[in-house]
Order: sequence, then structure tokens, then C-alpha cells
Amino acid sequence: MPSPENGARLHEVLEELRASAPPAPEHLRARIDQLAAAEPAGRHTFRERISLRGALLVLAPAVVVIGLGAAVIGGISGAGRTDEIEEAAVGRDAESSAPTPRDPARNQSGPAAGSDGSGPAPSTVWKARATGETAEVARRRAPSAGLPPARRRAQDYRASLRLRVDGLDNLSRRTKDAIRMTRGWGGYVVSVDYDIPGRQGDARLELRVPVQHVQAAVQRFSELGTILAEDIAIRDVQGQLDRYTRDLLALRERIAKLRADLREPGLSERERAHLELRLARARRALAERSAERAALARRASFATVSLTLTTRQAAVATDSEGRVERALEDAGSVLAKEVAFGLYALIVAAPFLVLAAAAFFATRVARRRADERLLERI
Amino acid sequence: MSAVESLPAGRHKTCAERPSFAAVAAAHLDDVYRYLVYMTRDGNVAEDLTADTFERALRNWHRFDARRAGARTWLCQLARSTALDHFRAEERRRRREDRYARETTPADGESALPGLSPALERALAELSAAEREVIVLRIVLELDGDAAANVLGISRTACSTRLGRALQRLEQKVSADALA
Repeated sequence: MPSPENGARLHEVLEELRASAPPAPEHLRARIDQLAAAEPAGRHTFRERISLRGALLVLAPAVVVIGLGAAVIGGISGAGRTDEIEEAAVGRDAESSAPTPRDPARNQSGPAAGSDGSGPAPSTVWKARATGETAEVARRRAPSAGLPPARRRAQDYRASLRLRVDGLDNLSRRTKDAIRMTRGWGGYVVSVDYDIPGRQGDARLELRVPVQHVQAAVQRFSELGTILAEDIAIRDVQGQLDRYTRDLLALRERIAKLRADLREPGLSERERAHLELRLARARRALAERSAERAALARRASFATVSLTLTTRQAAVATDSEGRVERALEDAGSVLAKEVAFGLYALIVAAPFLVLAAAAFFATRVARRRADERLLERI
Repeated sequence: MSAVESLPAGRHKTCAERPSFAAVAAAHLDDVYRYLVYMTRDGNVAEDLTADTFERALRNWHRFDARRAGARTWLCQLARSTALDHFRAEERRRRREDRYARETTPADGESALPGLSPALERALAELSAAEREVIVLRIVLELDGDAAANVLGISRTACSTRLGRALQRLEQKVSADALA
């Protein structure tokens, strides 16, 4: 606690400090005036005016706006595409009525437009999916048209349908209808799981349908009830099949050559044994390749249809859903992907950012302490 | 307080209303010079550093943002940075020349602060630059606590503590000198 005498002295000292503050000398003032006169009269360049904070304030909202814009555009275009697919499906239906199991000749004439052999390239995977409201909208407009298989290419065609039927009686009837239709097309039932634990029931069928009838099958199956979900995946296996064919040709040529070599006179016992061994190997490889090719061709000649019939109500299926809702859903999906990408980038960059920030702050603190020590010394 | 001085404090002021560099320089030249005189205790060095500070200020004038700090605070920050650069260079030079004598004492008995009593000037000379710095900012330039803390790069509490200790030491030195 300062004594009154000390306090008065300190007050005097402070007054003296304030009163005796030296003004800048006139020659210094003239020097600074001269310097200030050099101030550019015009506006500063953009680079001079932009600051890190200003740039961040502009860039951050810009990134958000671009992200949202991309999501909205993606949503609108996605919804538009869905509509086009539906329109195309409806159009195809209007042009030609769906073939029935009792009309195989018509089915043999080939699928709808777009399946003229110019199917997807080898290893291409085509997928179409409709779930929830999309399936509901599709159902109201037309039964599912499916996706046409390619006529001239081997494909692994898989379709999955989930349908709602009214009541257990219908469930039983529609299940039998599906089995009957499958057999009518020349297909067969792989498995049936019929389950009625209470007032509600499900029937899960795995069916193999000749690929030339699969589009009709999907359409007819979709008429058995209300579509809750639909998933079609097509994988081109023509490339694999062609590879097997080339292998078979090569093996046959090799076998013919080996046989010719064996007919050569003057072969030693050892050479003959060696050629016979090679011939046996080639024959075995030919048999294996033939079996593999046949299996693949058989697999490609039948499509797998997973059909689920249920009496349960769909969780999401309302009449008010339309293009706007689909656009919103697609936009949300795009936005979610953007956020996921952003988070991924952040997670990857985070350690480096933390290290950079730590280095920056450590340097700043060290420099500040060094300055303090310097000022204490002087 | 001049109009130029009061301008930066208002957050509502826009860039269009910001004063010219010449006006700011004219308004705050004395403050910058006083700050540097107290820091260096050498009038000639203070003049050079003041000129350096305003040159630096002119180069960075486009970066001055009146919404973040007043012009006087900004200039004092630049002056501090200039002074620190000078002190570092001096220290390197001293180390190089292996001379430990304080170079910052006024040469040939010429006083950098002619208005002060010899006792007060001696007392100030015995304080460190850090102590003189907080005194000049808070007492001579009469910056408020926030502005002074901003210039020093420390918290307001730390600034108050530093000022209290500096004044206590100054008062002790003056008293000791009076008794002697």
C-alpha cells in the first residue's frame, strides 16, 4: 500500500511525464509530410485491397452456395431423368402390349427398342432401382417395364421385386400365379419361402426365367401387386464368354497339332511320351474350358428374379409424392455426398492442418517471448 | 481528441469514410515519436524509427482496417515492430562487435526527453524498455487499457499488472534518487 507521500510523488511524476511529452521535431514532420504526399491518389489494386480475412469471408459462402447449387441442379436433373425413364417405359408399353407366357413366339422376336445387340460393353454394369415413393409413382403410371436384355450379348440379368398384395388369400393366389407364369415361360423355381406368422405374411421366391422372357416376366410380376421396391442389375458377360471361345479354339488347334506331331514317324519313345502328356493336358483343359463356357452360357440364358410378395403396408408410399419430392431427395443425396467428401477431405487434411497451426502458434509464442526478453534486457 | 483520432473507433464507419494517410500521419506523428523516444531514449534513433514506421505504414495503408483497431493503435503496433527490429539488429551488432555497452543511452549527455527533470530521466533510464513502453502507452499517450494491450500483444489484465509494476519501480527510483 503506497503511503500518501509516495502517492503524491507518483502523481507528480505522472503529471511531469504527461506535461513533458516531446513533440516531433519540425524536420521530422516535414519528412513525414513529404512521405505522406507520395500516397497514391487512386484506388488500390484488387490484390492490395483483398485480405486473407476478406478472401475467406467471400470464399466460404461461395463454396457453400456452389455446393448447394450443385445439389439442387443434381436433384432437378436426377428427377428429370427418372421422369424420362418412366416416360420411356410407359411409351414402350403403349407401343406394344406385354407378351404373355402363352405367347413365347412374340417374346422370341426380341425385346423393346435399345436391345438390338448393341448392349453394354463388356464389364459394363447397368442398374436401375426404384424404391419407396419412386416405385409408387411408377406403379400408378404403369406396371414396371423392366430393362430389356440385349439380344446378341450374354448378360447376367438380375431383377428384384417387392410387391404388396391385399390379404393372405391374395398372397397365396399371387404366389401360385408367379410360379405358374415362371414355368409357362420355361423357367423354374429355385426356392420358395412362404411365411405367414400371423395376420400378415410374406412369400419370397427365387425364380429363374429364360432371359428372352425376363422383361415380360418383370412386367407381369409387377402386375401381381403394388410395387414397393424394384431393383434390376444387368452385367455383361459376353466378354468372358468370348474369351472362353477363343481359349477353346486355341486348345483345339493345339490338340490337332499335337496329334499331327504324334503321327510323325521316327519319333523317339521319349518324344512320343512327352507329346502324349501334352496332348492329355490339352484335352483336359479343353474339357474344363468347355464346361465353364457351357455353365456361363447356361447362366446367361436364364435371368434371376427375386420376387417378394407381402401383405404389409409400405412404410413410405403416399399419393402426394411427386417430382418435387424426388428432386429434393436427389438433392439431399448429392448434398450428403458433398458433405461426405468434405468430411473425408477434412479428416485427411486435419493432421496436417493441426501440425501447421501448432507450428504457427508455437513460432508466434516463441517470437513474442523473445521480444519480451529483449525488451526486458534493454 | 481530433476527428481523425475518433474516426477509427466507430464500427459503423465504412471504407469510403476512412481518412487519408496524410491526415492520419499529421494527427499521430507526435504520438509515434514519443513512443519511440521512450522506447529508445535516443532522439536521433527515434526520428529514424518514426520515419521507418510511417514508410511501413504507407506501404501497408491498404491493410489498415479501422473496424479492428484505431489508427493510433495500428501505428503504435507498427512502431513497436520497427523498434523491435531495430533492437534485434542492435543486439546482433553488439554481439558481433563484442561490445556490451548500452548503445541506446543518449550520446554525449544530450537528453532525448528535454522536458523531464534529471531525476525522472535517470529513473526512466533505469527501467527496462518493456517498462518504459507500458508507461508511455498508458501515461504519456493515454491509450486505454484495451488499446495498450492490443499494441503489446498481451491481455488487458497483464497490461495493468505490467503498468502497476513499472510505476512502482519508477516511483522507487525517483524516491531513491531524491534521498541520494
